[in-house]
Amino acid sequence: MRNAIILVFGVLMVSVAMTQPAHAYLDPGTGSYVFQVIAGAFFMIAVAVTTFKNVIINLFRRIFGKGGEQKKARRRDA
Amino acid sequence: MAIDGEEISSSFRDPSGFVFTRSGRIMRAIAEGYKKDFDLLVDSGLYEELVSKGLLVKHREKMESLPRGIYKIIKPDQIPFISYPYEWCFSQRKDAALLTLKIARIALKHGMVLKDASAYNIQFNGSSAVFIDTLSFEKYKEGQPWVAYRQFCQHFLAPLALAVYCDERLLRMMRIFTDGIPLDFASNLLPLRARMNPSLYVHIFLHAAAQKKYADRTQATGASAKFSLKMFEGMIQNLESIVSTLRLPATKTEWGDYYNNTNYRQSARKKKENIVERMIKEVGPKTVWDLGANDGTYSRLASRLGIETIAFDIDPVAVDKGYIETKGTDEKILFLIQDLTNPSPSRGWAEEERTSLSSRGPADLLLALALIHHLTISNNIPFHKIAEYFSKLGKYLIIEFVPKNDSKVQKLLATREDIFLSYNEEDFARSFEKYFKILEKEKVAGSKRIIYLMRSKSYKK
Repeated sequence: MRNAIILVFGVLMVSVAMTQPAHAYLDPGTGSYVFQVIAGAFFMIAVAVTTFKNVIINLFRRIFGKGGEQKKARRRDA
Repeated sequence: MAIDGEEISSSFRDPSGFVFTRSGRIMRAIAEGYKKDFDLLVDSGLYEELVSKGLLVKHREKMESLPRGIYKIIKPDQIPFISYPYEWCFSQRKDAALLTLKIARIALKHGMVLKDASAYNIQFNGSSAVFIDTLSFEKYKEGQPWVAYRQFCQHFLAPLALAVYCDERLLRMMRIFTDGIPLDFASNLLPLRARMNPSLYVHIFLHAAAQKKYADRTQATGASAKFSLKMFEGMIQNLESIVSTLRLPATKTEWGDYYNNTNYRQSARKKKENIVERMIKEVGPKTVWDLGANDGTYSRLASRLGIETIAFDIDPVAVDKGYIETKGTDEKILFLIQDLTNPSPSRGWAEEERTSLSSRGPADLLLALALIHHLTISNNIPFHKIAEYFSKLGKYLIIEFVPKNDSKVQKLLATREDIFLSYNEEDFARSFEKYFKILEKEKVAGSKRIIYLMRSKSYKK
């Protein structure tokens, strides 16, 4: 199942520029390097989903939040 | 011409520079080869932004003649006590992870990237996490994936996920896996329900599978694809999102409610605090280590006086609670996990990359309150062995003798044979006098316990 998902994401055969920046002394790991390119689309979708979710939550807050504030103001006036 | 200073055993992997000590102060040498990246760190405004937000340790340049191959020598603000990820509680590891990602995100805005994401790049100044590796930044080249992604997942994401989905104690495994938990290992340990979280599934399980699949390949072939800046930013944001949501299930340990369940009446507890505070002021230490600190009640007697205090305890719940309460305050206190019967040893290359607990001392003053009976009775460690070890750990000692007729000791003996024939105050004092000079003692009125103040014979006054 896992391999199938990797294949689905990685339909493109990838070639990653393996030239290391001058001071990147750390071994990134071939698999980790390649994997990021494969999963790149997922990261962008995840951000879009989170952004959309936050927009909806803020919308609901604005709609129902206003009603709550008015009720609190009435209690103070009384 | 050599550098005036002494090398540090842990600083050798990164050719951009190295850390050394001079008159007991930490210094950093920057190699000529790192000149461009270091200048970009400053010129891009990244250094200024990170330092002004308290995220990166500040430094000052030292004006001195430099040996060939060295571009600059800088002196960073000193960290009072070096601690290691395997000594941190869950919240400390989580905050260190979020700090790393925040810095990575800010660096990208300035056209730079973090070239490593090691948990050892973070230290705690009091209870504030700070990034200490000024040479961790390099110019960002669009299209390149994050070279530190594997390290971030191994040092932070996998351990945090293991703590949440399996057991918090798995965080201690960093003592064995010094470069973080291998992802295939984490995949094997994590339960099925961890796979239900899409982000964890990608960053740990699929990531581990990709590591295995591409392990022996040096270069994949075919059409090229790039890792764009948007993908990079998306990945950082996704990692921040998943780390933020990781929370330990609420647990109670035997020590979590300790101070609500002691046999001290409120008045006796207050008297004990007064005695300990008076003794701390008499010694006038610069550093205090509270051994078996629990919720830090007595540690904070020292930290409130402005003394650098480390509160050690075996219980991760107590340490986490103490850290959360003091996080973001100016109090000079750091809560850490430590099992005194198995303290942090030297680790890493040549057994000296990460240093043992005792080599990070001695503390000016040790507190060992409500502790001795746990070491002697629960762990069968005789008085003289405790005295010997404590005499090396600290110059002064405030220690509480808990007699056998104390209800807490009776509880420890309830389910075992009492073989502790020499567990009495006389033998306690005699054993400690081999390694300490007893300066004074005072009984805590309203209890059966006695507080001693001693000076170690291992250190000159």
